[in-house]
Amino acid sequence: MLHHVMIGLAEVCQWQNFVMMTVATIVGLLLGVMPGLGPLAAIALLIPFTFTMHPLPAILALASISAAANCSGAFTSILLNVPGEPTCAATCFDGYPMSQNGRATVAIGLSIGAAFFGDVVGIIAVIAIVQPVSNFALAFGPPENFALAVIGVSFIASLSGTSFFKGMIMGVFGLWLSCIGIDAVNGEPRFTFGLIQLQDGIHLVPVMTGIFAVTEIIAWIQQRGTISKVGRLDGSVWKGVFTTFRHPVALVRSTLVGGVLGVIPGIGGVIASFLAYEVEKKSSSTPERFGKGAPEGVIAPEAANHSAFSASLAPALTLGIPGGATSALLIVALTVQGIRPGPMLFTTHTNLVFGFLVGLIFGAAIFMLIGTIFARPLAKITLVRAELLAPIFLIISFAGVYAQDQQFSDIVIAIVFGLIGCVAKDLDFPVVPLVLGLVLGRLLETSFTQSLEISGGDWTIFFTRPLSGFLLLTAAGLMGLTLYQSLRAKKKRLIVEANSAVGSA
Amino acid sequence: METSLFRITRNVGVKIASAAALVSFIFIYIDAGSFGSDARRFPRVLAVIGCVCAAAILFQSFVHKKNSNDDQTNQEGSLNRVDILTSYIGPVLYAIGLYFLGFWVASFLCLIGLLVVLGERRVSLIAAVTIGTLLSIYLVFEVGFSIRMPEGLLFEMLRA
Repeated sequence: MLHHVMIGLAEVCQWQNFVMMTVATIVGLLLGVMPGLGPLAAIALLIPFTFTMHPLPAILALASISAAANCSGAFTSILLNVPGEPTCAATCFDGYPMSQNGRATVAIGLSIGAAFFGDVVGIIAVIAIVQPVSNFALAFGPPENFALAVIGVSFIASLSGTSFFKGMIMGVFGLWLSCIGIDAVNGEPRFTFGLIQLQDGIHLVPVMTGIFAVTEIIAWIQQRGTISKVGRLDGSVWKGVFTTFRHPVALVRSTLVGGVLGVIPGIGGVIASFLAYEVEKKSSSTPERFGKGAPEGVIAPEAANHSAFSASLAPALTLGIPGGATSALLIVALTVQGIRPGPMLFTTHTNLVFGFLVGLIFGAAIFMLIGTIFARPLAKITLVRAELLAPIFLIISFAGVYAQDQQFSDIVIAIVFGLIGCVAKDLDFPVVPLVLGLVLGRLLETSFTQSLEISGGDWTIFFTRPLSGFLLLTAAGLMGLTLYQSLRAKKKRLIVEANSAVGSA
Repeated sequence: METSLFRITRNVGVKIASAAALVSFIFIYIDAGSFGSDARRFPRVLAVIGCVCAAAILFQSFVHKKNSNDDQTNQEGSLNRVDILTSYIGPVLYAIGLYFLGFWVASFLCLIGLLVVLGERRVSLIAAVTIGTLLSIYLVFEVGFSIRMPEGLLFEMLRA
């Protein structure tokens, strides 16, 4: 193994590879901060250029642009409360409050440090244990995917804030939104109301743009001022990077969560980031800090997100099973270069594969350097007046939404959900459960139906398969723990209110 | 706490929203009856859960002990009515403009209009922001991604 790694190191240490990775990182970072554009758009932009390149610089450039765009999705979560990708949604919870407190550069530093650690550890894990990791991915069938989606749904309870039912109703609404369109299993149109625009369902990008970006724009126009309520930028990005490593337990634990869940195709990254956040919040002796700018609240989802991406490369390379659209495009790029992912890849293209994996470690370091250079200029967005920021961001957001499918209906959806987001904010309904429901809905229903098809209608399949049963028990445990904690918090609140009422009397 | 647009308390807003949600989920349950047996299962389960949650929120809003937050007006500086209307109507008008006038004309008018309505008076800054934003979008989307932004119904009719 070490011999292969050294060969990979020799392959990657050529100036052309470093130049390609640096340029791709800068382009990915700038693309990723634009609403509606992310790793997928970044790869799509670069992929035609790679057809004439040698395989190794081609796939290194694609991986670098994708990783940078993913990272800068976290930047928009921190600076603007608009997640660039669903995997970055959990970063908003503590990243944006840090920006509002004038600590945007520190928050970006935290995300960069956590991303670097998650990337490096994830890649080392892939190098060391790629075959067992791939076998683990193969163990996930429809019942296990259903159980995993149920774990994701259980987060809705914990994201509900003070009202369990308000969070649940938003989550159910999100799950219902995923039903709109042609049913994936039966091919039947549902809730389209005769509109052809709804045949393809409600897409995630317009909903997220509406719920987050349009809602924020409306709030900026109403409240004026700047994102940074203190009117300045405190701290440095390197302070944030070093602070990351002062939370080793959170860092390692979140990376582990991401590494385990990231191998699961489809939703591993989203669930990993939310689960890592929840684990840190529940493990903390001061959970009340979370949601108000706790460093662990940024470190956990980012480390999990990036280790999940690295881990998803294992099934993608060895089995040809993409973890998501991004790794699917990476597989396409490899295939165009004449390299077929599969069990033989590590033996027929040893130099290339290990060169790629070692190159990703260098890519993570390159992003860390470039990200720290761009951090402060980007963070200055938090000092721009709302009167300037709102119109610019509105135009860019709608351009990004339209760019997805070139459908005007997506813009309408973004506006509708922007107004829904405003009403939800005013009435204290959390919006993240809605997004989570929309992300998980299709997988939940499809895997449930497929499981029943496999078992011939026998519901016990979810419990007789050990992994599925374990995951469902975990989901039940998480929900029970959340309910218990919220009841305890409510009891404490009632006692405090009773005491203060007695005191004032 | 007042909602930003309407002078109603939060508790009344929650009542209205949860009643609307309850009616919607009942409608979803009924509408799902027209689907096949497999296709209706999941939406109906969601509709039942949604109805239970909506009913619970409605119930809580009626038994909710009134506290000082519910009826207070916003103390952190009053929200300007013009700003509130601009914030809600601006994006809607922009979308209508996109449909009829196309992306470039609508965005040009929207940028200038919003900047002026929000109080910006420096012509050089308005021009710089408008040109800079539209140029960036042109370079990234039309040149970089080869995505044609919508032309608008008016220009399509003129061309025809």
